[in-house]
Amino acid sequence: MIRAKGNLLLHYALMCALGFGAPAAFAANRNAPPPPGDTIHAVLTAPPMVPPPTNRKSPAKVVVDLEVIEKDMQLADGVTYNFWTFGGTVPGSFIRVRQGDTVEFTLKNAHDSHMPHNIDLHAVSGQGGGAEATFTLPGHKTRFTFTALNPGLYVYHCATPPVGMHIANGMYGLILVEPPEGLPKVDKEFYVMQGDFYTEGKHGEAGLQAFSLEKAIDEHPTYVVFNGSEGALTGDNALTAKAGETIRMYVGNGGPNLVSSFHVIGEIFDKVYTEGGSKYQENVQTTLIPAGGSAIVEFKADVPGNFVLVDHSIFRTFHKGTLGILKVDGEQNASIYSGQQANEEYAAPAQAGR
Amino acid sequence: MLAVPIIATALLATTPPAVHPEFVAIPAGEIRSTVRYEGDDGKRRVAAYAMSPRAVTVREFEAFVRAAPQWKRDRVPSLFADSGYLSGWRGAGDSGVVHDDAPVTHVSWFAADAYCRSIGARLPDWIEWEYVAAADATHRDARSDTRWRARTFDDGTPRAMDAGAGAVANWYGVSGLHGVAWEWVGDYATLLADADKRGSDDGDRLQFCGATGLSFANRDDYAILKRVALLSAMEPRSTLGNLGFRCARSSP
Amino acid sequence: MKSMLRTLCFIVLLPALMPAVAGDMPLPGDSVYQLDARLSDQEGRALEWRTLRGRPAIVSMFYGNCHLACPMIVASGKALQNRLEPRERDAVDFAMISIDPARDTPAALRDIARMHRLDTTHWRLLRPDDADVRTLAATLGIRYRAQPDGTFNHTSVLVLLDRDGRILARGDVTGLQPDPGFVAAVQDYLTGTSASAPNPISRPKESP
Repeated sequence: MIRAKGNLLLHYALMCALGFGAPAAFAANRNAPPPPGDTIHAVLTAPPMVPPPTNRKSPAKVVVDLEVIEKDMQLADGVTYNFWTFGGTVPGSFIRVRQGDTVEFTLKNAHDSHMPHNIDLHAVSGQGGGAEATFTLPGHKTRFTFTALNPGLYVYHCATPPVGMHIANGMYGLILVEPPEGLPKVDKEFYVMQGDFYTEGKHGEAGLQAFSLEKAIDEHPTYVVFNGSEGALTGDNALTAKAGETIRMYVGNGGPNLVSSFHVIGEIFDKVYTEGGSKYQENVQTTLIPAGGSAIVEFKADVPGNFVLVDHSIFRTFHKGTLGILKVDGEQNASIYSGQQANEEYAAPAQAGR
Repeated sequence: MLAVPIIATALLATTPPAVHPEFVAIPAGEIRSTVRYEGDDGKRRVAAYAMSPRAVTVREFEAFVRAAPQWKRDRVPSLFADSGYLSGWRGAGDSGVVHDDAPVTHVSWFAADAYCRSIGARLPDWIEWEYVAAADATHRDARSDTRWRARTFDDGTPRAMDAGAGAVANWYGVSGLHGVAWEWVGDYATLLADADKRGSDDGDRLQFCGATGLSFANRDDYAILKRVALLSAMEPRSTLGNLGFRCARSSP
Repeated sequence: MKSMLRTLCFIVLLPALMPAVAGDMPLPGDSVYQLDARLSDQEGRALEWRTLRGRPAIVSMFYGNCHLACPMIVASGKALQNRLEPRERDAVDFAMISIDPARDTPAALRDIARMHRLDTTHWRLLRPDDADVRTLAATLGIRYRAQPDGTFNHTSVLVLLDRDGRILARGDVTGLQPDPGFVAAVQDYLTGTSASAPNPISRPKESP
């Protein structure tokens, strides 16, 4: 039962004339008391940045405020697209909490949005991952509270019908639920998320491109990119690190359709927390990231160079844009990688019949 | 001295607004609705009725609130409209809008209902709206034309196909149905769904009453999916910057 | 002269005879009674929706041809009544509003009242004008849809209105027993309200 003073409510229990049970639709933990300690306002970051570690020894109440903004942005050189975003970016803002935290989540939908939106966080145990509690009209905001029961790296995305279109337009991001002891310290952390995009026009066709439902259903994307556009992690936007630094990448795959074979050319992942879970595999070259899933990869940038982030389904890398650069500066270390040592001719094989 | 009961907000204006267009006669027919309920093939008979050839404009609504001042922004009770009602108007009875023949927006269902009653009309039903909106300029039912359908994905956005002033009337003689603004329907409340629509056996099935879930006949009809998702989420007092309306009349 | 004095006395005293709040003060902005709607009760007497103002009310919508959900709403309401102290019970009125005025004529409503053995001093079955059903449902936050076979799908809920028509609480009807949270809300409101206005149902109708 929901008590309201004065205003009409958004949710009703329904029962048909034939007396079927009403689908109850209430958020979990409505009356759970917050854990002891301060209330923390979560620091959210735009990709490729990651918020700092929580550095907490105990659960807390964490307040998260996220706004849905629909906006035209660049998809590729000369190509724009009307993205629907969480926090104004694709992927959406990175959220970082700790296992056991009580998260009070408010979703706003900008006044000039043309449609309602909601959010399903894979970190939430509860109806729709929060989607039923956050169906938000333009100019409105909704709120619900959940306890982060499991640690891990989780995708969040919009779940308003038509769901495929909302995800295809960029409505996804990552939420990290740290284990109680936190993750081991590294020098650099990055936020990377792959997504496939479907446009009426061909790859590279200039101007504002419309969403193509036919291509989305056929699973023939026009663009497959990291962080929402072809140039998101290249050129001036390349990720940077110094030789010798330890690096952790929180890598997500928003889909909507494609699975990623994530690889960094010239590097080996020392650790991969497969599918963003708690166990890691070691010494991995390429890891599969499911659509609607994630992976945490860790490696040391042993030597300087331009290390290319790719989806090793390689035609999409070179023809659809799944390419990013990690620029590592520093001292060469010839004992690890010498660079080219020789370039000579060698004698042709003896000809037959001579 | 005599305590006369306060006259509640009258839904009929005392004088009709200055201008409103000649309604277009819509012939009876049948439509296979994209929205269907369990055990139902979606086929619906639509009785003949009349529909406004265009959405209600800012100028028309301005005349309405001047004639029925209880619907002005500074007087309308919160029961009937939320804080967004006619926001963006310069004054309570004065829109201050230059292009005042654009569709009026930021109006609640109660206000739209009151306006239509004031001109001896009513809001169209969902099926009446869907029936007329299935047409393009030359076909009574253009929904099998995938290119036309793809253009309807922009409904409710500034890029909508009927956005410009030169929007062409459709086969029925009605224009602007796929415009910048969504449109209220009288029975929007029947499009009932759970907030999270992915549950149950069928991913497209909207939950209503367990037994009679609302589903979509054509999952590709994203424009209708979006429209239903939006309307089913509305409260009768809610207003949106891209939600307007037009009126209809039953035929005798 | 004497009759004129009597008439004058009547006119002067008339306000005192009417429910204490009705008409004295403007309605709050969120009061459902701001809606102009006409209904008739099971005796065929016409009334304006706003005349319910003055006493707490628990309202819902139903239709006569409904064989499971609506009886449950009534049963839930009666069970709620039984949970109240006698003074509280006397202070609140139930109104069930038909969404099917074409079929739910006054005679049909009387049958339903009889079938459920409704105490008509505290229960009213009301039938709106056709044009007012949807707007009434909209103010109460109740949704309904007509089925081709003449039945309806509808929200099954009890709505608590304060004396001025503001919605204080809603109780989902999912069985024969009322939602405990809703019962608590009703009790809280009724104990909090001081002198209730006299029950207008059992008094003869005054002409305004």
